[in-house]
Amino acid sequence: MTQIKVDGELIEVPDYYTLMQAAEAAGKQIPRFCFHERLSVAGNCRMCLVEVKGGPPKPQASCAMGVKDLRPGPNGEPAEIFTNTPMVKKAREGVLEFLLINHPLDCPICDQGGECDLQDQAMAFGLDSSRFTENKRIVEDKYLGPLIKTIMTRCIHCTRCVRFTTEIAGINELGLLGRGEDAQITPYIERALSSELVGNIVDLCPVGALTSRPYAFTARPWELTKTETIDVMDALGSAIRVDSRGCEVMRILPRINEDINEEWISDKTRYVWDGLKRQRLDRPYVRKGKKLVEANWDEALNLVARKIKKAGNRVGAIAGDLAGVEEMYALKKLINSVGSNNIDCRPPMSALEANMDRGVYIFNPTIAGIEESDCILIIGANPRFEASLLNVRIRKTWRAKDLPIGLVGQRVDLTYDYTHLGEDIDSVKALATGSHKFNKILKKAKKPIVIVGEGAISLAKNSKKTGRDILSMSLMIANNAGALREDWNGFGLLHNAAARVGGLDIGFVPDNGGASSLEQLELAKKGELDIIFLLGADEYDLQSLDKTFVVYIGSHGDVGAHHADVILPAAAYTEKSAIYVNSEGRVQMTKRAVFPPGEAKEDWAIIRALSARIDKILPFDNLAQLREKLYAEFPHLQNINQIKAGNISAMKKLAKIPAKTSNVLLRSPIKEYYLTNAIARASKIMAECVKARREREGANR
Amino acid sequence: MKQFLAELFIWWHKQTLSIGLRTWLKGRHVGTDEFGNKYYTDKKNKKRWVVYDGIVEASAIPPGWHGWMHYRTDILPNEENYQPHKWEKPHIANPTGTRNAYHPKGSLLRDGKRAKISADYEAWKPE
Ligand code: SF4
Ligand code: FES
Repeated sequence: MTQIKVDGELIEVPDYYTLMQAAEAAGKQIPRFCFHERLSVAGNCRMCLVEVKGGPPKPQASCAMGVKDLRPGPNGEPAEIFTNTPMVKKAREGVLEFLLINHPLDCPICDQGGECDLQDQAMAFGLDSSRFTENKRIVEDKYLGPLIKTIMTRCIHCTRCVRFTTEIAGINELGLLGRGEDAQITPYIERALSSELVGNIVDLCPVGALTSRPYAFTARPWELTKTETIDVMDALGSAIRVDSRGCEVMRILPRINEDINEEWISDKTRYVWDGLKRQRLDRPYVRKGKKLVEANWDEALNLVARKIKKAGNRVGAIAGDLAGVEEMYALKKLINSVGSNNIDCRPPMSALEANMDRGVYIFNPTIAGIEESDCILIIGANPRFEASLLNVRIRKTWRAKDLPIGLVGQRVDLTYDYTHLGEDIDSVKALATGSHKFNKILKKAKKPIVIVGEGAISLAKNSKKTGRDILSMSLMIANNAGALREDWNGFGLLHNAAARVGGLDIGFVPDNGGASSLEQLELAKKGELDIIFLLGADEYDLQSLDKTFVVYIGSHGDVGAHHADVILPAAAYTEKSAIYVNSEGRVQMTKRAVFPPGEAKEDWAIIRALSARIDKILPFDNLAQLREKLYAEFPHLQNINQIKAGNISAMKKLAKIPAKTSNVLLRSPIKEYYLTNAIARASKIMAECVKARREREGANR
Repeated sequence: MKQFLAELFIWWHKQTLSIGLRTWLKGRHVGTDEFGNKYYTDKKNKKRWVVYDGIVEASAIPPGWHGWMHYRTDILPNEENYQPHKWEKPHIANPTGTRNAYHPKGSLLRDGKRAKISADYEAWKPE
């Protein structure tokens, strides 16, 4: 700790603080353009100038100068800085005047207008008029891919975008060329940026040089209704803000959540919104003959009710990747009420079982916990595309310290260096038995993390045993490495779907002789299952289900809707309040930003209405009552933003090495990052991203 | 009788009772325009009035007669022999509130269908 005087006020700050941080600790705001908390310090905009006593007799950039760089006074008095003197005022005016020399005055047609740092700071600190009469500089616009629109004349060369792409996103595709007036931000060659995080540079750019291409000219920030909710595109549940106007989602922005996404979100999360307006199921459909025809709710529900009554307990239900906890709970109760246990929310051939402890299926070390870790082993996952923000955390930790990382699985670019340990189950076995080279490194680590991909424990083409073997061996590796301790639980299962952990938490898995998703589909094909509910389930093989009555409850017309006999239109994640449990086991809740389109209803309400028609009325009439029942049964779900920890000894019991394993290659289940769910598949922007990526890869070859 | 009752109660058609009375007592018919509206003045040429042919609608008076009605001129249009310019269009009464009223694109009154707006969603259709 060291003492410093800010505007005459004596405060005590840690000695690694910069002057800017010290001023902020004293409650003084310092304007800035280039400085950003999560990026390296560039010190090139000079907006943050302050006056320093005891230093050189010129203004100093407070973001780049440390408190300990200042000399104390002759008698050891603390150093002094000023943020409100005439010198500082003049310096700020000067900086802004220089910046505005080459900045176009096109705020009325600029998308950044209303949320522009330059606009705000010119108002607050700038001069009221311009003395510049010469011609302004003009810079050619660059192509950065389908997501980013560039108007490079507006660039003020803060280099935030360059620093973000190189430091956080881990791509070296953006840089600053030339100097002085000729400086330009450029991707060097005309090609889309290859990162899945590029959308963040739109937020970072303090001016309107980089704006969102799909959002261009569609809305102004002050006319948007902001709803703070969470994302369901992956299993992390990043904090987002949904900006809507009327009944339309206009854009999605990140919110700060230090535990999960810091302040970034992936491109899929950010740009999926146009999918919310396309391919929507907005009215019930009923299959008549070979064709699906429009119906009303009464007709559709009565038909389903009649079928359920006839089916007895030959009923099944599969929950898809985007289902919320409430609707799965309601559906579970409905299926149970007719005496069936055929419910499943897992991918085919998953090794996870109903009676397993929570610790086995959540990401125990937590995402923020990655920063504490000193060794990471990834088994059968591609975190970059399965959970982009988790990958960002790993990269951040890897940049900050010496972090050995091992990967079993496909050799892919993860944006950081890792040791490739093999691709098949034998490598996992070698690690489990301790005969692998990497074991030594794991042994030495104090806080090792073992990340197991969901794909590795649910190998659809193999038997259930293979997945189970990988799970138990991974637990063994974790145990041997000392990752299963009371003070450090380093075993993390990485899910791919937002619905998964919630479903597992409320037991949306078959027990007592119920059939799993794959078994249900098998039965259905043989005609031994009379009716099957698909709660937004599109990721399964739904071919040849003619012998079964298929009820699809969901928001988008995707694979499931095509195979359905009755479609009951439901709400997407921005249109309902639902609980989602993320991969860490953290309970989170979405909020409604807009209403579902047309006649669509919230999922739980559909199920409740159905229950009334088969005379098995579910005991709740509104969402609050449903949640009351849910909380009574699963108390941990009421602790929003909390994680109920796993039980270490229960996890240890599952750790073992099977004698015989069948050989398989470990592959990430994500084939196309931009198209992992029905909403993304409906989105035109995502389709463009896929095209851009193909073009880029074609050019690379 | 019917005519009398109509003139007593209906003010928006042709003439009211008092106007009819005055026209009969004092009115001197000076002309009729192309729409059939009849123009009158009193004996001293002090007052000028119109008896509409149909609905009482001030904008049904064509420009020439409009000038005479408002004492901008004393020359009667039917005595003036005015040659309209090529670009002059025939006069139409203000159609607001009638079937012929203008409805902008997207108005529900235009064709019963509202125009597409950006907030519209695309519904899924089975094949
Ligand atoms: S494009 Fe934006 S973020 Fe990048 S250097 Fe220019 S002003 Fe800064
Ligand atoms: S914020 Fe300090 S120089 Fe830019």
